Amino acid sequence: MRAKYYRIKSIINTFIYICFIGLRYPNVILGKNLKIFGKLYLSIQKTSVVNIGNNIIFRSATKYNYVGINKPVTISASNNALLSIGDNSGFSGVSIYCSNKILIGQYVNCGGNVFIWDTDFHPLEFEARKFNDITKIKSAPIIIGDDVFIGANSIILKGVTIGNRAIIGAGSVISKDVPEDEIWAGNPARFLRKCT
Amino acid sequence: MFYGRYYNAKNVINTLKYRYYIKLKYLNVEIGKNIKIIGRMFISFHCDTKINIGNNVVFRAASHSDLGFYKPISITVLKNAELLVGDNSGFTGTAIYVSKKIVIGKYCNFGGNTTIWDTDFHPVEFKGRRNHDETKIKSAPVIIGDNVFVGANSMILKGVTIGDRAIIGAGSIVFKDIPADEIWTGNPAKFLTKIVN
Repeated sequence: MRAKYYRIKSIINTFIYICFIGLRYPNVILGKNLKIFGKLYLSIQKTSVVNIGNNIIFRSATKYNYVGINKPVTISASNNALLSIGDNSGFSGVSIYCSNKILIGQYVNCGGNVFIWDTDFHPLEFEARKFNDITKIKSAPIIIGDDVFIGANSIILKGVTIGNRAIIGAGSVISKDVPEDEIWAGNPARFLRKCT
Repeated sequence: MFYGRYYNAKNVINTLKYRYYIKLKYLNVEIGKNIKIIGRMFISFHCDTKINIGNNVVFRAASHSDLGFYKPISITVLKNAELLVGDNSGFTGTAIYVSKKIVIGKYCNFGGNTTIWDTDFHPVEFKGRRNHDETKIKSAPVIIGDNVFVGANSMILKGVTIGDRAIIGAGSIVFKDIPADEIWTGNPAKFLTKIVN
């Protein structure tokens, strides 16, 4: 009964968001069969390119996924940024901040409250921080392969490449590249074992 | 004075509401005396489960705690799972997800935004993840002893046994067993000191 109610609610919610995105952000390309549960915060600049694939699910509140989501899904793309999300991926309470380039593959499962940031947000030199010098902020592209499973509460930082089929443990902070077929966890993330 | 009374009355009504909601909807749940539910609480229990909640347990939504977290309590118990909560324990903004077994002892304190999961949610093999094969999801029981104090923002993952009187620091991630009378912190959680009484 409740599942049916949520399904109908999500269909209406998704329809409203698709209409809103179509009118407000013409540079966002949405695939088929998108599902949005709860809120979705978008802040996308006109010069950026955002590609969202087919069969993608965004879940945003504790009542839509009981793993303990405490924030809505937020997607932000700055000027000249490129964000592309592959088909059949699922995101629960994920924050994506794209100022350079983020490529997410197919069949990616992102656990609750994951952050994906391809920028430092502030310059490293204190003088530049004082005067808010945007040109000195470091950023590097993030590439996440296919079939990657990212555990809840983890943070993926700039310049990281995660190989296909890799698994990232819950609560880990990734600042180095993760090879294919490996399980990494901890802060800073370390190699745990191979996926068998 | 007045506000204190107002909130007390509000909490009493809120607790009664949830207590009768659970009693009417889920016949398999046993709730002890004097439990307190403050703020919102999301519940999803399966009918074929065993759930025991002890006396004097406090469930507090994190938005009612001035800690800076805004998350309600959420408790999920899947089919054939078992959740036992001892007397006098307190939970703030905790997410509990039971697919096999979680046992929580007496006088336990759980800080804001803690999570207790006894499952991986998705299979380790990528083919299982693609096909949503639920039989391949790994899960192992979590057992937490008496008088355990878990710091805010920490996560307790599957297959962990925590001994009596242990303390877990804030923001730590536990996936190994913790012996009794020890303090563990960090990600992954490591031994810090012994507790000397």
